[in-house]
Amino acid sequence: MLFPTFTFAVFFAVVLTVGWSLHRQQARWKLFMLGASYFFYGFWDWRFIGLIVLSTVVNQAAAEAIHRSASDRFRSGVLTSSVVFNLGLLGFFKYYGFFADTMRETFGRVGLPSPPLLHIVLPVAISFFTFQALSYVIDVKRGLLKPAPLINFALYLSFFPHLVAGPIVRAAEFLPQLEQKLDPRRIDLTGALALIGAGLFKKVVISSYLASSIVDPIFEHPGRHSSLELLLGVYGYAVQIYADFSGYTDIAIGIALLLGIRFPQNFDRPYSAVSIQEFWRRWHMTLSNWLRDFLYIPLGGSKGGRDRRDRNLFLTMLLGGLWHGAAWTFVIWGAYQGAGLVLERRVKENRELTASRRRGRQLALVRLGAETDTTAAGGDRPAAASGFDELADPDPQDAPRFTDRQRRWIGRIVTFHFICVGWIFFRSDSVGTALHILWRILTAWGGGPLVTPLLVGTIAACLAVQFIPRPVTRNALAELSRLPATVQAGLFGAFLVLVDVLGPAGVAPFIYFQF
Amino acid sequence: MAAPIRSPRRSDRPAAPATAPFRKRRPYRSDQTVGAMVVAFVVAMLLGSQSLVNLAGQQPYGARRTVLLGMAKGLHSFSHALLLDQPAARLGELTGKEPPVKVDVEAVVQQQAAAPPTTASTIPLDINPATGKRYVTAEEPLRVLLAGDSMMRELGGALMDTADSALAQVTLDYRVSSGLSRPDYFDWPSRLATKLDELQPEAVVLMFGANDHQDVEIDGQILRADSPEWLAEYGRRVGLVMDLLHRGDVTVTWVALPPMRSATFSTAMASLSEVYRAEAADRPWVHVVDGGAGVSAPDGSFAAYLPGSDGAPVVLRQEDGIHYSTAGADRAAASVWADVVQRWGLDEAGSTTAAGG
Repeated sequence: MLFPTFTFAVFFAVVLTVGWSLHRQQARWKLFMLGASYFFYGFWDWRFIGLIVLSTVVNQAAAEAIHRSASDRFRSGVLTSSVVFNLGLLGFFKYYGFFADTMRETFGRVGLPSPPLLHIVLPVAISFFTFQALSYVIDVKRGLLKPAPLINFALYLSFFPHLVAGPIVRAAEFLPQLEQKLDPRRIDLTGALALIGAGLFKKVVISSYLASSIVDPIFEHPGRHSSLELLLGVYGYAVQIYADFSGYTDIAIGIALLLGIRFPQNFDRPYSAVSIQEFWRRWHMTLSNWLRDFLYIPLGGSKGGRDRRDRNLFLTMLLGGLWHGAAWTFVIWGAYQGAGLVLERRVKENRELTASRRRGRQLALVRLGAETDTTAAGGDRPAAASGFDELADPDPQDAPRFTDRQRRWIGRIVTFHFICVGWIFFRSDSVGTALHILWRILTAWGGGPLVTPLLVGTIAACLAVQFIPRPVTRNALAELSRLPATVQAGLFGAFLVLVDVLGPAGVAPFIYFQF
Repeated sequence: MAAPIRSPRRSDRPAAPATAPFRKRRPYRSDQTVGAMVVAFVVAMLLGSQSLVNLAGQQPYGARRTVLLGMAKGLHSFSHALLLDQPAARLGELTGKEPPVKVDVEAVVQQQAAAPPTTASTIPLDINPATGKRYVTAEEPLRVLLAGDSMMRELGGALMDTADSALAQVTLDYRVSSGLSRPDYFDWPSRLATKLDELQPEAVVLMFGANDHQDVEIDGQILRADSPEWLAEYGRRVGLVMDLLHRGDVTVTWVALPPMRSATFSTAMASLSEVYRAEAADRPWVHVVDGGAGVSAPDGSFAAYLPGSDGAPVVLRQEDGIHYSTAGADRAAASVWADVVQRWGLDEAGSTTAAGG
């Protein structure tokens, strides 16, 4: 059941109405929401429900066992078993084919036996609920959480707004909301409608338009397109994947808000980032935080010196790449992001070190100059006359070549293009296709029929929107919230029709469903 | 006096938070929220009533569709009477979303039978005695139209890569979820009639069927899939498309469906392929090519993997067990394109270039 469909609208209308009518009876509300979430999930394939129920029961048992035991060894053993179970489940469904293919290619050539090839269907949402289950058990082991009642944990894993493509909500963010009674007097209706409307527009209009007008054609047949078409196709994909994924999470956050549940923010205008590090603080924030807390820090984080820190950072991004899919293109994408982050950090540290040494040298010269002046003139002579003034002043070569504003824009442009090169690998069906696109961008000069003013304008407008200051949108929404609820609803209904008219017939699945 | 020493610039920091305080949004009660969503729902249904009619019409034939369509049409009549559907209709026209062109294909076929139109050409052409058709040259490449449902997405891509771009000018036109059973969703005969006039193709490659195994409606009567009446009606539609494409020297390569993972679905697809073969039997301009060639097990059954040229297994189908993978499409495209090559003499490189107009 896709969000931008009439079927989902009917489903949600029922869930919203019944949900709020049950809000005083917490147990019934939870049971109803759990049933609705399983219904939503089973709509894809009812067999998937068995998988999420299995994950719920096993992880809850592990959390309970860890909490009850006083033996550190036992607790660690249970945690390890739980991690093996979760990663085993994910590994089997998501990575078995990739593993078997790779093993066959490696071992098969030298005549060694290799695993059989199976055509396994990847269950929707498995990457998301597996990560959430892992965070729950690990947080219980760390003593940050107590095991929740089974119904709460089951609802946490399966809650339909975030089930399929995130945001990856942490147990510590979600479970406390289930322990309190829902407050039926403080619903952020305006914020929710704005998020759902923006999400639908991004997904149905922007993402679909870019996919059909440039992205799909250039990635399917790169050899038939010029460098300008390919370049715009890559920019288009950067906007498309943002519109698609952030559109989904906007809708998910908005729907949860209407049901009285708050989700964390997942995107914060990522293409306005001035560095790769900042990009990752603004893009798929809930995954970045998850990887930081459950992978980077357990690997050692920044402890143990620069080399170990860089290794941990690189490994985290590499595994983050593999999380997105079982293919070498995702491995290369993850390694590329990791290498970029490490390189950026090193360059920044070296620059800071040089600046700090220069500051120290200048300070020393200033002190030395002041002492010399005092000695020579008995403390009456101004320092400028000593001749050290010139030395103490910054060397013209050391003076920054760019203003702060210019540096930020250079940083933005470089970061955006770094990310775009990564997207080529992310979107391509093979490493060969990605390299072919890169090669043709550099060599196949010329324009093409796919480059239209509407396309260029759409890409430019979507990037420009990233620079609207947050207070502007928030204050505009605050003004909108003063309108009567029925007027807001009427405007929202009209906006839905606008999205329907501007969008294509039928809706493609969200890109992140496959992850 | 010494210049002040500035701290290093930290250009990678996010911008400092705005000092202006955010204005707070007004919260609403749950009853207001539910009420607001009902209002939004009603407004959207009234303003977009035409979309609801289209959506209901696309449902599988049966009682559910009849009820939904009746409700949607009732709502649309109400909305239309109040002119509430007009903004969406005008906006649709402005954005080029006009209703699809409906062509009386049967009349076109009758006209063609009476006075067959000739294909357009700008250069005087000789006839290749080996093929009985014109020589294909770089100056006058073969105009190829690839059309079909989502199966044609991968196959069409592979055919575009396989086709020699110097000798073939290929257009791919596919529509997901479409076929010949539900012209109310997408009218392929009308679409093809339009494309024939617009592109003047000489070789047409078609692939349909994956969405066709469903009930159809004839004059209010529902024909159940696989019933003799249904097969006769489906055959009539297939034959109509084949006759529509009988223009001048146009060749039609109809791709029969490959075996599918689901045994039931595979049997259904095999019965459709039999219909294509039966209809093509007395239409010499149509060749039916096996879409399972190169992607099926030696016994002709479904195969997700087969050994590649180096002996390593190659994945041939997507996870749904229906669509081709990229490698699978490449293999299927080889035999499909071979038919076009053979019928148009594209493999006679010497003669095609020698005859260059």
